[in-house]
Amino acid sequence: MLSYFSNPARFEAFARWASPLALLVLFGCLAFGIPMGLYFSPEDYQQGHTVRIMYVHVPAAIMAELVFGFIALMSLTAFVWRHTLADACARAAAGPGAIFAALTLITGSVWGRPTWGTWWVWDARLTSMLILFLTYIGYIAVWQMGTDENKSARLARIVGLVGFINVPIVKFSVDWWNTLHQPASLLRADGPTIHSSMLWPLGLMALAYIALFSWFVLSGVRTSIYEKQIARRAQPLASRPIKPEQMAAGDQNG
Amino acid sequence: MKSICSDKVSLQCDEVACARGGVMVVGGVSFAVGGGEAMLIFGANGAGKSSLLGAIAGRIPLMEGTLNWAVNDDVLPQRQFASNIAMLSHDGAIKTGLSVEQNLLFWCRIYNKPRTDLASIVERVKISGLEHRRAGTLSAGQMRRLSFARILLADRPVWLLDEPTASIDDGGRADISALIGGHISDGGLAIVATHEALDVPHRSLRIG
Amino acid sequence: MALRRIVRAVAQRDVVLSLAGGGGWLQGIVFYAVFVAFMAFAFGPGEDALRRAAAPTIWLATLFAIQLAASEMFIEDIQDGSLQTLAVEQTSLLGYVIGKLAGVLIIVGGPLIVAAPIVSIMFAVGATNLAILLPSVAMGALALSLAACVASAINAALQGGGRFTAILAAPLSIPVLIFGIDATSLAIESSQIWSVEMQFLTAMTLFLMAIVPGFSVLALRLGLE
Repeated sequence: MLSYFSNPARFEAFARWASPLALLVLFGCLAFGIPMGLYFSPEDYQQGHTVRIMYVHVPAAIMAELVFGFIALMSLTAFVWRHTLADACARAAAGPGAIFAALTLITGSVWGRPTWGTWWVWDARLTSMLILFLTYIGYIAVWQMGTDENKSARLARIVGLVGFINVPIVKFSVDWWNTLHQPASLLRADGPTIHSSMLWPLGLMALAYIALFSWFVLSGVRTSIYEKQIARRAQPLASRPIKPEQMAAGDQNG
Repeated sequence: MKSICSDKVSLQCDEVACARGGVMVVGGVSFAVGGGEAMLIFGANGAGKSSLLGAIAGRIPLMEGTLNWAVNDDVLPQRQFASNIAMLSHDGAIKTGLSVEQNLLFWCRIYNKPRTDLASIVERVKISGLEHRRAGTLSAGQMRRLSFARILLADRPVWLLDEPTASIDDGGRADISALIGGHISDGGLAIVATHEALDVPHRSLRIG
Repeated sequence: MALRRIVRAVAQRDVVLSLAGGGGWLQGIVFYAVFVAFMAFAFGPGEDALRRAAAPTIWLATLFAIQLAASEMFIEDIQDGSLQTLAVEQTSLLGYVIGKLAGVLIIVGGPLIVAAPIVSIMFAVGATNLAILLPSVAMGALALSLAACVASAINAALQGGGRFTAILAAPLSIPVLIFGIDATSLAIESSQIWSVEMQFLTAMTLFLMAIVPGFSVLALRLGLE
């Protein structure tokens, strides 16, 4: 399937209908998800209305991690099969991924204030999300820093893969560090089991995030395809040999 | 006197094109050269001489075409052929913080050559007496001679030289021409990117 | 063997260069000393506070000193054409990268490892045998150099001028730091050398040893194109 979409023309044909579809799904899910989450779903018996932050926070957290997996998969695809469109996919995914991670941190912090009584705690999940955010920043910076797109793409593959391998190691080490240094006096983000009246809006919001992400990636890749086409047209003419045979014969003086 | 050129090396290029920063700078280059020949690549600044030489050296990937190095008519992959190449890059691979001798001793270890080779090589490139000077205090011409000493030290059949006569005077140019001439009459192969003619029997490739 | 010969040649050259060039090796240790002094000022002269700060101080000083030194470890070789020459003439750049790493460990890591027990004396650690913290600090210096190496190679390929290495190295350094500080604390407090933390630190180091040289070579070759 990946090889099928490695052709820009085919990708363009796919994106032409997939892109509006993603927008449709996005707005459809938001139209139902937001009212359900913010109004119709019950409030938590302990946290009250604060629990509604969950509908923004949890899907963002899940997406932040999934998107880095996507970047790693695309990096691997580009690494092994040399599909440059996979590079474009990874690049287009990085921005939304970083925003999801930032959103997770911000909403987590806003939620933490009434619940934990502080804007920030070095909770294991928040800490590893912070490091994931840093990894995103590093990945994006590789794309931003380079002057040669082709070179940046190939370096970004390395950063994407190494960063991805590092994510579980960070999670493990931060968990270790957290349980060792902080006695379990804090509330954990998972609480009681989730009731189905909360599950529905949560699922819709997660779907909305996925649709939004898909739209971002599709648009990003299309932009990069167009950019490449424009760059190709603007390219200066390459040097060519000037009548090599004649020259070689004429200059022979040994 | 030397055994390096007992094997016959050759290079065949077909419709080679290479890019710099994703933009094709030189294309449609075809030629074949072998041991005992020198080929001079002429071209104005920015014509892509260095890029072409980089592609020949295996540093820059080809955009189009094929490029085959062979030893005794056996085509070798670029990486394996690397140990037959001595490369003089634009910057001379000299550590200015080290003395002339320390610079050369480093390359002795890299090339696995005895340090006893050094005395005669220093003499051939005419920098004897400067061995204990810090390389940073040498003149541009002397620096060029020092980087040429490394090429001689490497003792390899293929020389790839990028502007070997840059910032060097007439006497220096004659000396370098003589060294290249000596190398090809020993059966070696030299490919030289240059903007000025050298006094060696050669074939030329003009790009522009 | 060719690989060992090149590793030795590159490491030896870098050590000679740092001794001749007026202080590559000094830069690391001076930074380390200044950092340690600042930490002492920050924590105050109280013995309890200092004792608690000993292991973190040693580790942070080591981390920053190594990153400072390693952030530009490839830049010079790229600028003077040495790396380009090696890349063209050698079948593999693996020996070169390992040699550079060995150079950083000798020039920067060596003095820092020796300084660690001295810092622990100054930070009121009452352990009878101060050599007990050496294994964890040495392992950490290796791991942190590896993390900085791959980040520096990527940075060099991007022509980033060294500013960027810290961001790339951070995610790789954090697990090292977490296990390393605990391993050193345990060594100081209860004379445990082969603690679980030390085992994880070792595992992390082995993991970095497995991936860093290959990816660094890849990044460097890319940078030369």
